[in-house]
Parts: sequence; structure tokens; C-alpha cells
Amino acid sequence: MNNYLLSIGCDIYDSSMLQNLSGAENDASNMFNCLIESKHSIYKKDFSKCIKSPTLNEVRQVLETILYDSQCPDIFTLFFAGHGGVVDSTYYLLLKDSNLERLSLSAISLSEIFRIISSLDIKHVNLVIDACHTGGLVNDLMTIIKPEIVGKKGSIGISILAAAASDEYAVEENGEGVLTSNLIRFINGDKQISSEVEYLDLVTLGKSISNIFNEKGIEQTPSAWGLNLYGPSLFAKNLFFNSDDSVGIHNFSYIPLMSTLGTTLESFKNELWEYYKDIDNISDYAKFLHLIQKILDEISDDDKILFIRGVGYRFIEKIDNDTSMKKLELINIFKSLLLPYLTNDGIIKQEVIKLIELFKYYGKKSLIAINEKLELDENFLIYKNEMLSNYYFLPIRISKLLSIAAQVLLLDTSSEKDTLKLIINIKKYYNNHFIVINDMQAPFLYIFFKIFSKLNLQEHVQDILEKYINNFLVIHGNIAKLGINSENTFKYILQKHSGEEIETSLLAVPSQTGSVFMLISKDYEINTYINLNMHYLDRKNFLLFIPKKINEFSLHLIRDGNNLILQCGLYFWTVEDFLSIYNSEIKTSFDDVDELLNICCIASSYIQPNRIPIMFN
Amino acid sequence: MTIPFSNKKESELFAKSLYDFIGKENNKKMSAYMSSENVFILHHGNSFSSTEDNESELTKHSVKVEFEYSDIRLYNIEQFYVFLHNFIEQISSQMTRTIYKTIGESCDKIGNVIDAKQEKMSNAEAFLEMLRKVELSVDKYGKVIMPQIHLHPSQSETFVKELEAQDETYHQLVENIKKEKSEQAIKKEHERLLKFEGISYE
Repeated sequence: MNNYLLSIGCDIYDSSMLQNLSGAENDASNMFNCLIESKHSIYKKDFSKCIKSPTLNEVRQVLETILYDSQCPDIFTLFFAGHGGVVDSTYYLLLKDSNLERLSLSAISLSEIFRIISSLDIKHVNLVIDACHTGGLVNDLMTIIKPEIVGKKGSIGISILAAAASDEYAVEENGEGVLTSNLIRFINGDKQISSEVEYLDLVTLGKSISNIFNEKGIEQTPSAWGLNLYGPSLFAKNLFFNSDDSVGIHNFSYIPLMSTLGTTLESFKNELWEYYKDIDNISDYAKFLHLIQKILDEISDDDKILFIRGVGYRFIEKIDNDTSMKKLELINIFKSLLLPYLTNDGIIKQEVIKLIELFKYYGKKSLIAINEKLELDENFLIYKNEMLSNYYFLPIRISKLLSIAAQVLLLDTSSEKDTLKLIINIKKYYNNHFIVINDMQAPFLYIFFKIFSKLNLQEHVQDILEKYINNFLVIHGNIAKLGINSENTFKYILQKHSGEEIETSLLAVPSQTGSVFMLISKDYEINTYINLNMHYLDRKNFLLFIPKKINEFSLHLIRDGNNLILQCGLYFWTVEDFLSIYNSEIKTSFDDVDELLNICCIASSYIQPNRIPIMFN
Repeated sequence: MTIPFSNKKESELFAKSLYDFIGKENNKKMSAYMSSENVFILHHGNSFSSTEDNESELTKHSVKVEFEYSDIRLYNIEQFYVFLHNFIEQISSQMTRTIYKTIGESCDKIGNVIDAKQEKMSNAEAFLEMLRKVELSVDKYGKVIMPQIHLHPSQSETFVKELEAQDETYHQLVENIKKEKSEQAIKKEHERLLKFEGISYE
């Protein structure tokens, strides 16, 4: 198709009665770039023009060149930004040399434009006018509403988007017209109307922009008219259009399909959709994180940010309840995702900071909500559909909750009251659940107790740590392994308490949990007690993974690093022995790990509990 | 706000494993009453039959075992085992009752019942009468299967003592009936097998 664009922006006016503008030329350039330079442009670049602050003659000449010297266009789009006004029921577009006292001779009227285009064989005309009083152009429509021009089969169709009502001014902000800037957002895919139509038309766009102005309270009323419309009224390609009936990326993201990121996401859409539609039931966040890590590996830093904003936030929004812990878990996923790309400055750092703010916001709300729930229903933390499963999962649930509460506290010390309240509530109702069941609790407990010691709040949780350590000693360190088959969780509980020896295949060998107790015991001055009872852990192997590069800490598989495995009764007999070996084995300096890195590492081990955030010390 | 970290799917698998365990323990108990070859797994319907005139309804067994929230809150692990024990005991006792009830109904239907009290029979006479009425069967190896006698524990000692106290003639009579019934069972098995075209004893 032969589609041409003429984009006019007039900032400079010769007449002293007309104030110069600052954004009209920008608007014309932006519109031209957006409609022409895009790889999804429907316009022919060679026959399209952008002219800045032209005189009346220049406009007439360009119109003549575009419309008469080339092959007659199928679609002609005229964009104008500048001054406009109504005189004697005629709307004029004011140009550089326009004179307010003789507009009929010095400005171009819409009636003139309509007369020109109606004499040609153009199928569709789009007019976008970002100027004051554009609602006044309605009078000029009479020029064209004539049976010999419109109405017949195949006669010209016209769509008009006008910036303001006939008694309103068009607003400029930051060097661009608000109508134009909003229109461009829809064209370049920053905003979405629909994924069902292949092309955007001005009438639909006008309605959407008008709604936005209404919501934002902008005192300007854009309006759109359609005349003699039939078939698709093409203005621009819809970057969200999904020709496939199956799931499209628009179902779970704000990313335009026809963007670089959109193209990448297209190949992951089914997997992402599976997670998105069932987001309330995701339990294996590590798998989800791994999937997204694969996507992020393939895209640029700018697209990583777009991914977090266009997909990440969409996932977070999908969880209706603002107090759901799932929101916090998702934010931890996105913090972990950005860890490998985090530097001291740059856009990734800014995005991490935004995620932290979001975590604080939802974290505080969640703490308040969970305390309210517990005060109303002491059984709130019991999963009631499968009561007996609580013997396995409730202690894990509680250690996770403690970890999340501590993370909120670390980021926002004003939540101390709510965090302590939660701890009191858990002690009150679930005091016997401070026990270790699975090695996945290791990072949760490390995070919780380390944060409390960092903030000098040990006295509030000292008794909890003692309970955990006692339980670990009583069961001789026999805790279930990470990734235990869910069907074996029952078997573990059955064997653990029946006095039988627990099958080794169910156990964490080596375990991280023992290492965590060694690492935090001195902060709570409980090392002497552990030393006196260390023989209960004789022959048990303790594990600590020591990463070489902090930025790799969130990877699904961290290749570079050492697994320190120490057997109790062979390599150490006291907490001090353990710490001495541990300190000598640490080859990476964690001293200069900054706050953001620590926060992302904590988030990573929370989501992937097969690592302890030892850098947070 | 819903329960955080519910582990819904994992909890369901925990429960599945628990009920599988209960099922296995129950099967162990049931194997004392019924050969595992006679335990069928059916996937559809609400009745079963071999011929149209012996259709039987499938019987539903359900158990209600109560569990207090406080037991979970207090992590009362003893209650966990109490639950398992009660569940297995209740379901197996229900199924045992169903087995006896079904056998009793079948015997009533074909008249294979001896009412020792009404007929004023001794245990030894009743036993002999039972042997006469019963039809023996043969296992897959062609060996005759002797019938089982299920008695309440309080009666079993008296019953056995009374049989042992019988004279030689009585025991000979028992042996003769067993021999005769065994021969009949083997003969019947031969006749059954001969219905297969590929089997002959010539």
C-alpha cells in the first residue's frame, strides 16, 4: 500500500501576536520518527515528510509534491502541532508567516485540505491536530459531507483526532504536547489498547487518550471523529497484535509483541503463561527463577529493566491480595534476577532500589495483616485441607515467615513493632514448631537470626534459637534433604518419630542447617551449650557453599565456588573448631559487600534455599 | 489474606502418601481373611457380578477420625500415630464385618447354613454336617483347598477340644468325607479344564 505521512510542527511565528512555541517541532519529529522509523511502519519513508515551522507556501508545495507528484496514496496522514484557531466558522492551522488579521490568506484551513484530498483517489485520511480550539474544526467537516464526496462505495474515509474542545487550549509539558506524547505511547507500545486488531485507528486511540486525560484530571478534552469509515481505518501498526488464537505475551506482560523483547518472550510464552495463570499455587519458585534467568541471559540491560517492568510487575499485580506473602516472594525473585547485573551505578541498581521499596510497602502491610489474622484465629497458620501434612510443613512455614519478617525489618526498621508482635504471636500459638524438619530451613534461619543479631535484637529471639538447636541435637541432625520427593515427606515424619532409623535416602547429607547453627551461635552466646552437646552430632557432615563471585550467587547453578564439608567428630569438636576452619577456607572477601548486594543475596537464598547468604555477616 | 506458604500441592502429596500407607496396612490385615488373588481393583460402576443372577452392590466404607487443631498447634506427635492407628483399625474392622456379612448372605441364599442351636447339635456334629455341605475347590496347582473355620476367640479352644475328644470312628468319618469331597473337587477341576480345547488327559 502507498501510505504517506506529512508531519508539521510550527514553533516559530513571525507575527508578534502569536507567541512562539517550544514543543511543536519536537512533536512533529517524534511523530515522524515513531510512525516512519519503526520497523513496523506502514508508511513509505521516501514519500513522507516532516517539516518544521514552515510558511504557508512551503506547506502547499509539500502537499502538492506528496499528493500529486507521487502515486496517489491509499492512506494519507497529516499531523500538525502548532497554533490553531477558528475564524468565521473555519478552522485554520497557523504557520510561520500566518497573520491573525488575514488568516484566510495566510493560514491553511481544514476546508482547503479537505477540498484537496477529496479531489484525489485517497482511500483514507488521518488528521491529527495538536493545537488549541481544535474542536472548532467540526464546521469544516461540512465541506466534505456531500453526497458526491462521501457515501458512495469506495469513497474517502476520514478519521480525525483533535487535541482540545473548541473552547480549550492544548497543553504542552516538558517540551511536547500532551496529546502527541500520549498518542506516541500507544503507537510505540508503551501502552496497550488491544491485542486483537492488527492496526490502530484514530477513533479508538482518541477514546483511550480521552480516558487517560479524564483519569489524570488534565483540563483538555481530546475528541475523535470518524467519517465514512469502512474496513480497517489504518493509522499505525498495533505492536500488541497477536495473530495466533493461542496464548500471547500480552496475556501476561505489557511488552509489545513486535519489540525485541517481545520476540524473545514469544519463545518462552507458554512456560511463562503456565506460571502466570496459576500464580497463586506456585510453590517451586526456584524453577520459576531459573526460567526467567534463561530469558534475561538473552536480552540487553535495557530489556532486562523492561522485563521487570513489563512482566515482573504484571506478575506481582496478578496477586490480588496486597497482603499476600506471594507478592514478597515474587519481588525476591526479581531482586535475585538482577543480582548478576548489579553494579554501583546504572539502571539496574535503580530498579533494585524500586523493588526494595515495593518489598517494604507490601512487607509492612503483610505483617500487619498476618498479626490481625493470628489474633482473630489462632489456627490461621494451619493448612486445614490436609491437617496431618502440618506435622511436616507447618514448622517450615513458620521458619519461612520468620525469614520474611526479618527481611522486612532489615529494610524498614519502622516495622520493628509489627515484626516483634508477629514473633510474640507465633511463640504464643506455635511454640512447639521451632523445630527443624528440612534442610531448606537453613537459609531462613540464618537470615532471621543474623538480621536480629545485626540489629541487636537478640533478646527477643534467643529462646527461639535455643529451641531450634535443642531440636537439632535431639534428632541427631537427622533432617530431611532439600528436594525430597513430596510423597516421602510423610515417610520422613513416620520414621522420625517411630524410633526406627530414618532411611538415609531421605536425609540431608551433608546438611547446611548444622553449619548455620555454628555460624550464628556466637552472636547469641550459645556456643558453650552447643560444645557440651556436640557429641549428639557425631559423624554428621555439615555443608557450607562458599561462592567465589558474589554476583553469581543467584544463579541456578553456581559453578565457581567451594563446598566446604566438615564432619563432626573428625574435623571439628567445638563451634570454635568449625569457625576456625571456615574462616581459613574463605577465599572471597565479603567485607566490602554493599547493602544492595547483601539484600539481593538474601533474596536469592530465600528463593533458592540450597545456599546460605554467608556474605551477610 | 490466605494462609501463607500453604504448600497445597506438597500437602496433598503428603496426604496421598499417608492414605497409601493406611491402604497397605489395611491390606496386610485383610490378607488374613482373603487371598490376595481374590482382591480386585475396579475402576467404574457401582456393582460387580460374574453372571446376571449374582450381581452384588459395591459397599462403601468410610471412617471418621477426628483431629483437634490444638494437637497441630502443640505439635502433639502422639496424636499423629493415634490417628493412623484408629484409621487403620476402623477401616479394617468395617471391611471384616462386610466380609462375614457377605459370606453369611451367600450361604443363606443357597441354603448352606447349619443352625446348630436350633437343631440341638453338638459342635462335633455341626462340624461334620458342615463338611458334608461344603464343596471343596482346587488351587491353580491342582491342590485341593481345605475350608477355613473362623471362630470367635472365646469359642475356638472349646471347639478344638471337643473335636479332639471324639472317638476314632468320628475321625475316620471326617477323613472319608474329606477324601470323597477332595475326589469330587479334583474331578470337577478336570472336567472344567477339559472344556479348554487344548487340554486333554488321554
